[in-house]
Amino acid sequence: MSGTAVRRTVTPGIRLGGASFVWRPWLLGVTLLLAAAVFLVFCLSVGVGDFPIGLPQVIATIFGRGERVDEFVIMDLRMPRALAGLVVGVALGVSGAITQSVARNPLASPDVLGVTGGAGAVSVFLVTASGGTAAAITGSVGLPAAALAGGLGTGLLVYLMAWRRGIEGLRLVLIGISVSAVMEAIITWLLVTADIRDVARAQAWLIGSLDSRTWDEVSAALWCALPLLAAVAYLAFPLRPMHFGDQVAAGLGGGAAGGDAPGAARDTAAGGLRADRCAAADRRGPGGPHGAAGLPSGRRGHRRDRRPVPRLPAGTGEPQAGGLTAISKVSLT
Amino acid sequence: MIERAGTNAGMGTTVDRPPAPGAARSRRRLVAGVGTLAVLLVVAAALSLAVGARALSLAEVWHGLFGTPDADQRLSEFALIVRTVRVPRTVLAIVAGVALGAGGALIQGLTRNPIADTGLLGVNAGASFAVVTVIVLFGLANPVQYVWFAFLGAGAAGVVVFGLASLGNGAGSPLTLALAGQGVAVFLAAMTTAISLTDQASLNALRFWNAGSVAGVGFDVIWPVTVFIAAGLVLALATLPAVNLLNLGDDVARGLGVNIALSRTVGVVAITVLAGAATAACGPIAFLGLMVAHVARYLTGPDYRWLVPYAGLLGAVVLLACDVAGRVVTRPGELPAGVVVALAGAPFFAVLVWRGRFRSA
Repeated sequence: MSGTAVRRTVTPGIRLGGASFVWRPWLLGVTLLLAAAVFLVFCLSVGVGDFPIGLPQVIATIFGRGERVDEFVIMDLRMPRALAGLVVGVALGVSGAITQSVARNPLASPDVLGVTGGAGAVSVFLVTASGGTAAAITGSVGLPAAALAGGLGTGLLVYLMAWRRGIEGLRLVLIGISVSAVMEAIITWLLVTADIRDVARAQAWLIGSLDSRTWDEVSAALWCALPLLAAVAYLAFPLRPMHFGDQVAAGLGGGAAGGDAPGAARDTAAGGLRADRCAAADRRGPGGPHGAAGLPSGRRGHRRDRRPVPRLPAGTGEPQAGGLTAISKVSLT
Repeated sequence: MIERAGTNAGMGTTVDRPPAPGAARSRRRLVAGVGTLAVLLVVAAALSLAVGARALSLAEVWHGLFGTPDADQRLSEFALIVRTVRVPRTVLAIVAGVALGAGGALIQGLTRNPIADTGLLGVNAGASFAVVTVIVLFGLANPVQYVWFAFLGAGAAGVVVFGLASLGNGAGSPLTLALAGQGVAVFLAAMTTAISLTDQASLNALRFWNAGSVAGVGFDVIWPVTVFIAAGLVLALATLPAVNLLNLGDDVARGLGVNIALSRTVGVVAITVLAGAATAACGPIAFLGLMVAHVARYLTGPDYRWLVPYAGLLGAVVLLACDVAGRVVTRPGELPAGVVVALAGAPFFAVLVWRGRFRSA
């Protein structure tokens, strides 16, 4: 650009072997701040309760230098719950960001992909049905596993139904909405015909709660979430041009279907994961990405410097959604 | 369109364009489509009067409708069924179907979003919240008693959403409106659930309310609801030319002389009244507005002056047909119309989507 009258600020890049990054201090700073906020809220969540523990003691205990009472309360009783909130929050936030990117629609949220509805329908059926089949399923595999299977199965169904020489965002979302509507109708019908006491139990499941999570559940959730999050981090870059639509994305070298398939699959898995761990802790999904996009580093910053490639909000959405969930969890605690 | 002469070197001649040959034909097709839908509506209404736990022949329906009360015992039995049960629910299905269909098409036009539904502005959530609240506060047990509270709740939610969307930097943008609506809806739904979990009477009422049914409501409710919906339709139709221009983008619309704030406000009021009145009378019927808006767009193309009336007629036909189907499939019981709309409509809709019939709003 030398020799022209136009002066452009060039964003410096960082190259490490084969990988290169753009140096964006604002984005990095906000992400670090949010990570700090997540840690703080996490500690608060562990400290607040019937047996209050001060912030310094909480931090000391987490790093293994606390008193024995604190250690019991924190590590055995409260930590699983707080960690479950963190994992589920991250999974939901990232799912929301990916769903909105793939669908190119700011109203899309992971529950339109049918996972929430499928898991809900299965669990409401198991809770309200009095027949032998339902009791057998609940007895042998347990309600959470059956709900997870229902959620994943429905998500897979949506994906297969939307497949037509590739996946297109609007088609995926519209078919997801249709399947979700069917699942919601099934839930409604089951609730209308059920005994009122079962309705209350089913309703409580549908709301979603982090109460009384165990370490087993948390570690299972973590082992599901970590590989998927790694995959998302890897796929986030090729996902970017999809904002421009499939043709442009293909022209920029990102196979639209290729970019979509893992994204949607990951969405599905994350949604199912949450369905299992947290029941249907509904609709925190859309909050994350929008909050993230509203941050100075997100969409607004992008508009200001007119960079051609919008960035996937996952970078900011992740810690922020974690924080959001932690906050909502604290308020519930 | 006015073509201006002599202003531009490249295209400096006056062109007196004859109407495009396709225009008249497509207009004829659109009018014929309205006629077809009207015929379908009459057929569905006739079925709705005849089909039910006690099946009636069309002759019996006719006698029931127009027979004189001093006839023999059997005739008055038809009259009783037709006049007190079948006619009210048929009228309500038509009125609510028109309201939800037209409202669904209009909200997709106003938000420029193909996945917007009539519940987007918080109307359904507001109505449910009001229902649960009055049950807990006043112990109301009869659905007819809380119709007007539901309508008030829907209206209040609409006002709050519109107020929130008018604040701040993004004031008035379609996206702000949609997100404000979604936020308020989720908040109200959470409050509704929290209340209903602590009070079994309201939970019991809520599960039936949520199913969405056109049955069991008398003309004392239907006539006022119809008046509101008629007013909402007038507002909706009045705003349609502006909606067409708004879909070209705000800048173009402003350049063409559209008062953007005014048309959006009128549109939002129309949707709130349409969806609020329908929801108050029937309970929330999800998915109907979204589905018929897409089918109507496929039939008419993007012109909202045709799209919204088509969606209204389609909504009435679909809701009537679903109500009739709900009476037949689980004899002697009934499936609520709202459940049938999703169970029967969604697979059909998904097939149309898969075949690539729809474009975005």
